[in-house]
Order: sequence, then structure tokens, then C-alpha cells
Amino acid sequence: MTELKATIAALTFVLLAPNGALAQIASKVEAGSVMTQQEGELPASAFSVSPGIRVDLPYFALTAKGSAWLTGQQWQIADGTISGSLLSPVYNHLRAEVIGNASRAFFDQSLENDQVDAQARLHMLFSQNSGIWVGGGVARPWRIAVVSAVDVTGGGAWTRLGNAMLSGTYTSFFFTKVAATRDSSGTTQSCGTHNDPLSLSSTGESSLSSSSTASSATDCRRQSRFSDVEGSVNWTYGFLELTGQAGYRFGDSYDVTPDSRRWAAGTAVLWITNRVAAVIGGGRVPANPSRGLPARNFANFGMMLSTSSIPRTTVPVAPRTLAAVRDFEVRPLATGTQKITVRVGGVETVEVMGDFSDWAPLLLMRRGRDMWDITLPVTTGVHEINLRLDGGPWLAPPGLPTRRDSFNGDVGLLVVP
Amino acid sequence: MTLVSSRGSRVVMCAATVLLGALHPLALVAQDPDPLSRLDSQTRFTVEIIIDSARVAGVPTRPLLLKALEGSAKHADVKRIIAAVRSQFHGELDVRVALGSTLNESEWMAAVSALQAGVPLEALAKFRGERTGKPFTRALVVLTDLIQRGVPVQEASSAIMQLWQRGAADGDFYGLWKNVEQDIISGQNPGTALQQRMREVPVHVAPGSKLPASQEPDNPSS
Repeated sequence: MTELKATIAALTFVLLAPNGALAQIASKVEAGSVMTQQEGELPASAFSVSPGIRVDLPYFALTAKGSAWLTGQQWQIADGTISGSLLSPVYNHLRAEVIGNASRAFFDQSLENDQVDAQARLHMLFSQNSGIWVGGGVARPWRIAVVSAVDVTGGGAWTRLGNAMLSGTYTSFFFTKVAATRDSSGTTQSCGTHNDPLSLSSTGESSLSSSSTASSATDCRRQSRFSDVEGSVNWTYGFLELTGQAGYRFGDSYDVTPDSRRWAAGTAVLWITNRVAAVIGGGRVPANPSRGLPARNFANFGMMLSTSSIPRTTVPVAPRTLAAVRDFEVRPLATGTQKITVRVGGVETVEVMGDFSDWAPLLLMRRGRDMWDITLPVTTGVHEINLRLDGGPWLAPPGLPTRRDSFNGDVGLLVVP
Repeated sequence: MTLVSSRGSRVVMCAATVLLGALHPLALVAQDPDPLSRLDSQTRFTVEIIIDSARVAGVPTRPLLLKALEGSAKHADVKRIIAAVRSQFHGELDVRVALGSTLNESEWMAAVSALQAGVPLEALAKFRGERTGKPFTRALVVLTDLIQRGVPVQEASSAIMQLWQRGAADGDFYGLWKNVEQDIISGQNPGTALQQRMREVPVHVAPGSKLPASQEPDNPSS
């Protein structure tokens, strides 16, 4: 019983604690109903619980998320992912990023597999509100009929337009898989020069039949290549967040099934309070041939308990201007203590510094979707203060008189009565 | 087993409490025992010399230290940091001439900011001449900002001095600044915006005090 309570307490702290002081922690738990349908199958529905947590340090981010489905009387882990991202400082508008992921997909006994992958990206940032990147990496799936690492290359561009974030990506996949000798349209294909005939062992493990050249073999090792072009938009208006994406897959009929040529999905999040939101979404997810996952339609609705939205985009962290700050407020608490509150959405870190901190940066703590605060000992009088978002430039907070700071910037002049 | 688990839980809870206490935000702003250690040796040496000079001259030394730390935090180069500290020091010397040395830390800071924004020494000195225990920190903060936003120095200095002499409260200065700021953002000429908004500031005249004829408030209806 004690262990159970301790576990519950620990889980509650990890998932719902608004923050850490040294690292920024965002967490969420989403619970609701999810319905999926694969080609040729009846729709299936389940109760789903999806926790997630993201830890951000100035140059490192760690994300863990997953979901469990209750089907009938049984819980099953549907998927889980842990990701780490290492970012370099911005130098001449350039920023390097190394990303590592480990994930597991478990839809049923026949669709259970794991994958680790690593990618490197080079970002170029323009005027803090747009950017492009190129990159490449390698993924290694296990327990599926893919017999090589998956080479992943691609690039993308993103920009902010008002409250909207637009992004477009191009991603190319190249790998060797075990494939049927008939393509998705049913046409018999020769294994050809690029394809090595294959026989399957009784355990299901693939093994190369080096002596065989039988064109009648039902499976081949075949080099597979396809490319995805996807566009997405994330738009925030007050308490409403809308996300939509659509994509198209290029590749021959061997590699791209008709049900995965194009896809689209959307999600709406309506924030009821600063930490509670209603979520509804639906759409189509394309197949993932490198992991053997089929295309499927889905619909979900539920509630989300969150300290913030965990970013789902591939957009890199970028400095933002203070135009995004909707509110900056300083209120006295106890004698000599002031609470600084900043309302700004869509950022990962908010920091202040000033004479009261001997000009040492202090990380504000996330208190919900777009609320950040910190409590500081600040004495009566005039204080100089700067604010920055996502490691961008130090700027004067909005709503305060300012002065030049002798270092090509401005500071806010905070008068504490 | 239960005993071990309970003890383990207590240990975990104690550790978590200690950790949370250690990570409490107020713990993070504990003053650095030697803030100058953040500076490289060359900058530190020069800043210490300027601070010693300030100590001898009887002007505050902490703003000099803070200026150096600010430059360091903003990754300014050595020359710029030293120039900024030196400018702060000279500003303090000028403020002492204009306002005397019986100022509190905020008044020092506000006065140096105003001087560096371009307020003439003689205009600043008027605050001493008129000083009757009235705080002028807010007035100087607003004056500094208005000049930075493009209000001509002479107009801004004269308007703020006029308000201060009228006995305007801190809230009046803040309200004026807020309105002028909005007008400027809306595209209005900074000087015109100040003149128009000045007419809206209420007059606070203490019983028995008199205003110079030239400083009577404008009649908004005229």
C-alpha cells in the first residue's frame, strides 16, 4: 500500500508538477476515446490514456510520451517514445541539432516492433520568425520485415504568421525490406536486378537464399524508396488551438499503397482553464512501411490535463520577439518579495534578469498553457529588468518605461513602490 | 518488507523535500559572494579601479558593479563593459553636482539614467531646487523613457518638471507615460502627443502652495 501511494505520489509529481527550477518541465495527461479503422477492417474503439512529459534545458530537450488503450477489460500499451535533442548555440543564424529517438509500437501481437533512430539537422534561422533546415539520419527498426537500416534524409521550412505557425517538410526514406513479389495493385513483379530472391525460415526470420534465383519465390529482398511531402499549420486564437496537416507520398506502387498516397488530419484543443482542455481530432495516418504499420483512419476526443501543450511540430526552437508577450505583471507578495508573471504562448523558456539578480538569468516557471511566473526578493525602488524568450535577445518587458542599456539594447525600468 | 518500504518511502520523501527546497526559486537568487568573479581578469581589474575611485569620490559603487555584471551577462566585449562602467561613474559624479549626494539608490539610478538619456545638468538640478521631500524617481524614469521615444529633450524636461512642481503623483506620471506611449505607437508625433496628454493630467496643488503664472495648467477648452 505504501509503495502504491509512493508510486501515485511520484507519478502525480512528475506529470503534474508545473516545473522544475533548473529545467523547464511540461507535462500532460490526455484521456478519452479513440477510434481507429484500418483498410478492410471494422472500426475499433478504445479508452485511451496518453501521458507525456518534456524537459527543456537551454541546449537539451528530452521528451517521453506514450499511450495505453483499454480494450474490453484489458490494458495494452499502444506506443511509447523517448526522444532527446541536443542543440548548439545559434552562430551566424545557423544552429545544429542532433536528435535521438527510441520508440515502441504495439497495436497487437502481429504489429509489435521497436525502432531507434538518430538524426542530425542544420537549421538556418531568419529574423527569429522563420527558418529552414536540412538533415539526415538513420533508423533501425526491429522485429519487422525490414532487413536494413532506414536512411532518412529531408528538409523543411517554417514561418510564423501572426498566431499561426506554418511548416512544410520533405522526407525521403530508403531501406531494404522483405516484400511480396506482387505490388499493391496485384501485378506480379520480378525480383529484378535490384532485388534478391528470398526464402523465409520457419521462424519467420528472413534469410537470404544465396543459391536460389527462382522467380517463383513469393518474397524478395527489395530496395524501397519513397518520399513524403507534408504541410502543417498550428493556429492559436485565445483559448483555441487548431492543428492540421496534410501530406502526399511519392514512390512506385511497390512502396506506396493506394491508401497511403495522401492523408490529412486535424486536432482542436479548447482550453477550459489554464490547465484543462478538451481535445477533439480525426483524420488519416499513412502507413509506415519501414515499421510495417498500416494506414488507418482515426478519431479521438477527450480531456487533457496539462501544464502546457507539448509541441508536436518539427520546428526547431527559435528566439521570439516580445511582441508575443500578452501580459507582463509585477505584483507584491510578502514584504520585499515580488511575483513576476508573464503571459506568452508557444515558447519553451522565459527568463528575466536585472539588478535584483546581480544580472544573472533566472528561469520563470510554467504555470499552465501560457502563464509563467517567478517570485523574487525585490526591494522598493527603481530596478532595471530584461526579459527573453527561448534564449533570444534580452529585451525590455512590455508595459514598462525603458532606457538604453549601454550595450546596444534596452532595459525596462521597474519601479517598486 | 513493509518496514523497509516505509523507510524507503520516507527517505524518498525527505530527499524530495530537500530537493524541492534546494530548487525553490528564491534559493536561486542568493547573492553571489563575489559577483566580480564572473568577469575576466582584465575587466575585473579595471572595474575594481573605477569602483575604488567611486568610493573615494563618495558616490555609490554598487551601480558600477551592476553595470559590469550586466555587460558580462549580455556578452559585451571588454571595451564596451569598461566604457559603460566609466560612463556610469561619470554620470554619478554629474548627478552629485546637480542633486547633491543625499540621494537614495533609486534616485541615483533614475538621475544617472536621465542624464545619459540627454537631460541637461541644469534641468536635472531644478529637481534639487524644488525639492521639498517630494520623490522624483518616477518623474525621472518617465522623463528618460519619453526622451528615448523621441520627445525633444527640452519639451520633455520642461513638461515633467512642470508636472512635478504641480505635485503630480506617481500614478499621474505613469498614466501620462502610458497614454503618450500609446499615441506614439499609433503614429502620433512624440512631442505633440506629450503636449496633448499633458492637458489631461489632473492638477494636485497642496494648500498654501502657489504656482508660477507660467505654470498654470492649460485650459483644455481653450
